This record gives sequence, structure tokens and C-alpha cells, in this order.
Amino acid sequence: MEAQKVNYLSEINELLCNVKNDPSLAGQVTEQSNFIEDFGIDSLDIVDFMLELESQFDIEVDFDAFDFDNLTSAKRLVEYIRSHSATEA
Amino acid sequence: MSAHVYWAHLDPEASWNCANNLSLPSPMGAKSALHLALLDEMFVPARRQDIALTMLPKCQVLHEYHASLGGSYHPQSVFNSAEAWLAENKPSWPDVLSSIAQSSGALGPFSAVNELFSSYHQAPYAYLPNMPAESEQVFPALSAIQFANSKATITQLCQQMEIPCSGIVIEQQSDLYKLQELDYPYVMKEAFGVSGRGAYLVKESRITERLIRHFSKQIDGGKHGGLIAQPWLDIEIDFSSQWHIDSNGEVRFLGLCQVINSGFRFAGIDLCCNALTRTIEQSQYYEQVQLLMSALFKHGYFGPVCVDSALLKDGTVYPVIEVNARESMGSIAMRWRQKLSLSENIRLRQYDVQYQSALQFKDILSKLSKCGVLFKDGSDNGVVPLTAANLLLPVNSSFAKGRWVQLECGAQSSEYYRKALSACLSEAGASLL
Repeated sequence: MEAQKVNYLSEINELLCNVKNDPSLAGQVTEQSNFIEDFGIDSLDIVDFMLELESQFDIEVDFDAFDFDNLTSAKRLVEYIRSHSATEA
Repeated sequence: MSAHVYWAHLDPEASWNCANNLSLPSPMGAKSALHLALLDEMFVPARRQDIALTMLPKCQVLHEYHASLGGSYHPQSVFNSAEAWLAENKPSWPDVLSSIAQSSGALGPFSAVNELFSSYHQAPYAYLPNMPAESEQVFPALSAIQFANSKATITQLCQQMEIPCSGIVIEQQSDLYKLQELDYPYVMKEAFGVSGRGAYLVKESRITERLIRHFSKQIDGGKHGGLIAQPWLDIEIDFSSQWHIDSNGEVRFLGLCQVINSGFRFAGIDLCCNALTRTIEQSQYYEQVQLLMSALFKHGYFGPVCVDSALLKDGTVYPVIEVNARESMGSIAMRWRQKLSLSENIRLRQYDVQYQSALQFKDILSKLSKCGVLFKDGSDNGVVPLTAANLLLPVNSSFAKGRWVQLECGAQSSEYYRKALSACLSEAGASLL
């Protein structure tokens, strides 16, 4: 379980590097990370970030119900992905 | 002429948007950046006797510095301190206006603001719902303001008038298939999106299909309209023109400026653009935009207008990318140039700043002066800082973010001034992002 969580974080981190076009962010995402405050994800990046998350984890986000606070904690985001992932359900 | 009261809400689009409009994928509950509410101090009154009503008191050091350059006016504020504003949960101008409207003005918490608005002619950055006015002042109807600012209605209007303005408007389910016929990349925009929000570059069909599913779901839920898809333009230079439509319908051209963008993000303004001006004069630009201004007046709008346009790489002048029927960063730069009697060669630049504790603005001005980049009365070169309030907030997290906006005068490059600013901020415990 713990190893799987680490993989989620690692994959999210890779997506973050791509969306921000900033390789120096590699290895920076921890469970406590706030994507908005710690990595400067702004409203333009969010769409890209979320659509890439969908593709990477094979989920479909209901944006009109997705809580912004899920982006203020990597732990919360992982929990959201896990709860919406077909393989985890 | 009696004194005017100037006030600015820099996120008016959110107040104009219709809740029923379709929207791009975006999480619920995303908030405007805190510093946006405090950038209102950039909106400078024209005359010495005018009042600038800002959310927080203007930084005294900055005000005295501007006054030393000849930029005098009367500053007043809605709240008497940052602490008072934070304690009231950081209300923005729409909150203030709504409170005044609900309390009938006289007895509410913002009665002093209402008193000012009842006594002076208002010069707002943008018209908002619920604006109280002195008896002789008339504002356009909200529907006219929305019409003039909606990217969807402007696209349709330009196409009806045969003013070049490519794009398709998405109103309903049957329009969605049109997205599949577009060349890549293309840009999806919300009707009331602004720089840094409400636009998305679609690069591949996989994303088109995902967006169609998203919009379909919204349409099934009762939403409609409010979206456009524009072709990707091969732009050489972004520029904007500033206009004013008087309440009698007279249209006045105020000026032209080059706009510096980084992707969809606004980065700055260059007021000196002689070569660009000559190119535009050889096109039908002014005639086309004049026609558009007249049409906006016929639809009930009068007031300030900024038209975003572009010079394409093939030399074509593309007249209308979008219309912002309000003041703009271009008009703010022009107002400061006039206020401080600066030369033509003026640039405006904005930078995001991260700081660990509230900055001491006096120290920053002193550092800028010491390294020779602070503009002083009688000189030709240097920077004029325009904003302070958003960098002086008490911070309760380890870092806070704000925005630095400055005018740049003279021949030195923006990069030169950026490096100097970065060094000064670094010494003060802050950094440019």
C-alpha cells in the first residue's frame, strides 16, 4: 500500500514537471505538498494538470463537483485519484 | 469641474459572468489571488483634486514618492488598515457594493463609501453591478456591459459587421461537433475569461473529445452559451488600443500600446511603438474599430474600452481578438505617463513576488535608489514602483505572494531593471518568481 502511494506521488510529480515545464521540480512532491502554493500552479496550469491526471490514472473528473481543496494537499489528491480509479474501486 | 472619485476592481469579469454559462474545466472553489484586490492603487486619478479610493490605505512612502514626481491626488481608503480588512474576511469591491445595496447605504458598514459615491462623480476602472451613483451620473445597464465584454457576443457582432474576427461560438449541444472540425491548435475561451484565466490551448483531438464530454455534461445540467473557439494566430506583436465612448455616443481614440504576453499571461505594456503605429495606420484598423465602438454604443454601452488586437507574422493587422469594455493595463500606463509628465518611451512591467514577512517599502525604495534605478524628478531613466499594499500584508503562512508593478523609463532594458529589482528584493528577504 505504501509503495503504491509513493508511485502515485512520483507519477504526479512527473506530470507536474511536464505541466510547469520545470525539470527542477522532480522529487519535490510530498504528501504535504500544496500544488497551488508550493509549485505555483495557477488557473491556466490547472486545466492541463487535471486533464493529464485523468489520462495518466484513467479517471474522469467531474469538474463541476471537484473540490479545489484537493489541490492543496498531495495526500488528498492521491486519495481522490484512488477513490475514482477503476482499478482501485 | 468637480472632483472625481477613482476606484478599481481588477477582476470585474467574475461579476459580469452568468452562472448559467458553459465553463472550461476548473475546480470548484478556486479563489482570486489575494493580491488582486489590492492592486487598485495602480488606478491613478487624473487631477490633483481627485480622490483615489482604494481598499487599503495607500502606502505613505509610495504616495510621497509619487507626489515628489508631481503625481499628487487625495488618497482615501475603504478600510483603515490591512488588519481591519483581513478581519472582515477580505471583502472585494463587489462585496462592498452589495453590502451598500442591501443596507440602503446610509446605515451599513460602508456608509462612508456610499457618501463618497453620492457626492462625487465616479471614475471606476470597470462598471460593476450595484454601483450607487450621484444623482446626475448614469451608468450603462448591466446587460450592455455584459454584451460589450462577452467574447461570444463580440465575435458574433464582428462577424455580422464583416470585421475580421475568426472564431466559433458554442451555444448548445449541436454546436459541439464544430470543435471536431477545427485545425490544431485552437484556443477555447470563456465569454468572460481574462488574462491568466478562462482560456485553454487545445493541441490534440483527445482533448477536444474530453472537452466535448465536459461541455455536454454541463449542457445536460442546464448550462448553455458563453464559449468561443478561436484559431491559433501566428502573432508577431500583440497590441491594444484604448478608446472612450462618451454618453452621447462620441467615440474618442486615446492611444495604442504594445502588449507583452507570456503565453496567456499578461507581462507588460510598451507605450512607445512608433513602427507598429505606422503599420496600423496603413491598414483599416481605426475605421473597423470605430465601427465596432459605434455598434457597442447602439447596444447601450458607453465608457472605457480596450480592444485587444495583433499584428500577425504575415504582416496582417488582426483588428479584434477580444474587447474589454473597461479600463486596462494599457490605459493605466497611459494615465501614469500623463500624470507624471513622462516621456514617450515608457514601459510597464509586472512581476510576482514571494515574501516571508511584510516588506518595508521604505527600504526597497532606498535600495532601488542606492543602486541607481529609482526614477527621480528631472531624470530620464529609472523605474517608478506603482504598487505596495499587496506586499505589506502580515503573513500567517511561511510565504506570501504578491505582485510588483512598475513603470520603466529610458533606454535601459527591462531585463536590466528586472535584475536590479530582483537584487533589491533579495536583500529585503523577497524574491521574484
